[in-house]
Amino acid sequence: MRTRTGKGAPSGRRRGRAPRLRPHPFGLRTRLVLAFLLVAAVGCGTTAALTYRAARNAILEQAQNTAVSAFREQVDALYVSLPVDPESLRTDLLRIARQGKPRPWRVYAEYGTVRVSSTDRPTSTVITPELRARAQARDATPHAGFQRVVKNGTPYLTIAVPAVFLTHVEGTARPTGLVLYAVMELNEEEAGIEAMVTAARDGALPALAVALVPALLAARGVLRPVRELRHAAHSMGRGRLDTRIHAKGSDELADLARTFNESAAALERSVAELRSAEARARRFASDVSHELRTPLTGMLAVTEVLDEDAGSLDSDTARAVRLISAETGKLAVLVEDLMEISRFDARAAELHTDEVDAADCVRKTLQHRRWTDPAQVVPHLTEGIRARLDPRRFDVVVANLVGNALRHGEAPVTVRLYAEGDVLVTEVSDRGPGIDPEVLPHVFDRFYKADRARTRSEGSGLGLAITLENVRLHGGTVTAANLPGGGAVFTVRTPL
Amino acid sequence: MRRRAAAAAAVLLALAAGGCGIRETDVVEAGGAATVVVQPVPEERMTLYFLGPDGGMLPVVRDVGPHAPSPSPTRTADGSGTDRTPYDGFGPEYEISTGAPAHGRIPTGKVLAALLAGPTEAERAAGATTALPGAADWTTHVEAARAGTDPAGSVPVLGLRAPFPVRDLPETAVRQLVCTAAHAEHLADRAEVTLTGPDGTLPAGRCDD
Repeated sequence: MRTRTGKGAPSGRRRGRAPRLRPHPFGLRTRLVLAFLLVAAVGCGTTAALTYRAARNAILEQAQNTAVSAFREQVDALYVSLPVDPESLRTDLLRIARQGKPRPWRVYAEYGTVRVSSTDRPTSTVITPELRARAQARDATPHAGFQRVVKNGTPYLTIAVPAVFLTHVEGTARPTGLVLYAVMELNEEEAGIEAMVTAARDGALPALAVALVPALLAARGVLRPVRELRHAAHSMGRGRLDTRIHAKGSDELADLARTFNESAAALERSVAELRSAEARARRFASDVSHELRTPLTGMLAVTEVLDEDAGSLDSDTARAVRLISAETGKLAVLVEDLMEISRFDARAAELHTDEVDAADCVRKTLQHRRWTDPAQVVPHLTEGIRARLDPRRFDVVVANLVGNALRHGEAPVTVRLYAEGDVLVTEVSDRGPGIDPEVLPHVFDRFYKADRARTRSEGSGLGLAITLENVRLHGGTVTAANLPGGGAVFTVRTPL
Repeated sequence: MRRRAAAAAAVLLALAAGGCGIRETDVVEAGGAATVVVQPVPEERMTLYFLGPDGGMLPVVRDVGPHAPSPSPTRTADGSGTDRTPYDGFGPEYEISTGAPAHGRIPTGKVLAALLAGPTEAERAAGATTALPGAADWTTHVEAARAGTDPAGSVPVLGLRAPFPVRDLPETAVRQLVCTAAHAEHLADRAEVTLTGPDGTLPAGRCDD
């Protein structure tokens, strides 16, 4: 799947890059990998554990069964006298000890108070009282028994076999009171079992590593469409409404891609309709202002003549004539402003930059408008700043801001000009009451009346809008704010 | 999902932790006892039941065959009397004759007399003791009377008559008599043995209970 964008796409004003993919600590990839690893670990672990248990039990059972039956066989072959003769019994025990199965063991015999063993010590500390009690139980039919004991970390197998004898040739078996014990270390079995643990671990770790491969593949299969969808959504957000995703396959992600494509197409149609409607409206405004301009030019010429002759007319007529003249002038300004705005809207406004002295520009603007009275306008201009500006448009910006401050604020109006890094800052502040916070966000809107009661403003209502467009054309910003001590301040920031 | 994963991990851990190495076990029963051969052969021996150090029955086998060693002195429970040699002095019927080995078995009365006389030095050294009263004189003996089988005809019954009071005898002493007598009569362990003394008769007892 690839994201494709049509070449005729109206791109947004800011051409932002797709934001870099942030690493997600618990993103889909991590979760999928963890889930796969967990499943593999559970599978390997359970299998290993169950196998281990079964094998261990088998090893131990085999050793135990072999040892118990071998020991019983050895004891079966004993000839004893009662009470036992320790010397001959010891000889027998030494023989049995050598013939231990699966390995040699130590053998102990107990009868009454007699203790005989195949080792140096007569009794073993490994044999537990429980085993002894079980072997010496005075049942009619005593049983052999064994017990695994771990002493000082060494596992032992202890076996107890009570000896019975036939009372007479065809008689019943009666306990002799003689009990034989065998003690065998289970070191070899333990080593074998530990080898199994090692083998299980060595087998499980590669299995986990192998599980990583399908985990990463699955994560890739999910993440790639998601990433493409994300890029496409971002591309649409930047205004490329013809962005589409190649939806292939029949899974949920492909459905999502198709839905995205349908939504994008619908959105594109709606936006195109809106744009054409807006364009029509702008063209209409532009046409109207153009159409008004020609008759207004004629009217202005007539009113100038009438103005000159007003002195010779009677007072009422003269007032009417002057009023018409003044309103015609305002109408001409309004039409000029409208045409300017229309040019901006049609993106026909062009920037003719020139490297100029910024302070000179501002000074010329103030002089041309005759704002030279220090009581009216106070310039604080940093000299010698060279900036790439369109002098005509910069003149409009400064004039509009100062004129606006004089009209709506109160004198003295301060004009500051300074460089801040590679940004030229032009500040126009007044001593008026400031701007109503509710109005503040709308001061650059067209025909926005700060004071609803005063419907007839001296300005065209387009001054600040034109200022904003001019500053934007320079690639800068203009903001309006209130000073802490009262008064409004407009700040223009343009790149040097 | 996280809780389930934790549960799975816990199970895994439990499996791993519970299964490592060789663990201790309880006593596991593993088949019957071993049958040893006790010397000498049954025809040339008598089996006496003394008490082991733990109070249980401790069988002792004495050779009474033609190649038997000379009898050893014995000692009774109270240890008061001097050592006696149970060879002569059991009365005319109870001598253990080296020249006349039993044709089949030793007379039970002689076996019981030997039991009453107590363990020999070697037997005492092996931990054998007796709970029976010391015989005051050489003629003290227990009469054994074969009484046949019980009315149902299945259980052999044996009666013993003792010259000493039996009601106050310790249980272990009675068992010594019962087991030794049953053994000497070649009766099965389930044989019921009654002991009668001058002060009355004890309920029938068996060696295997």
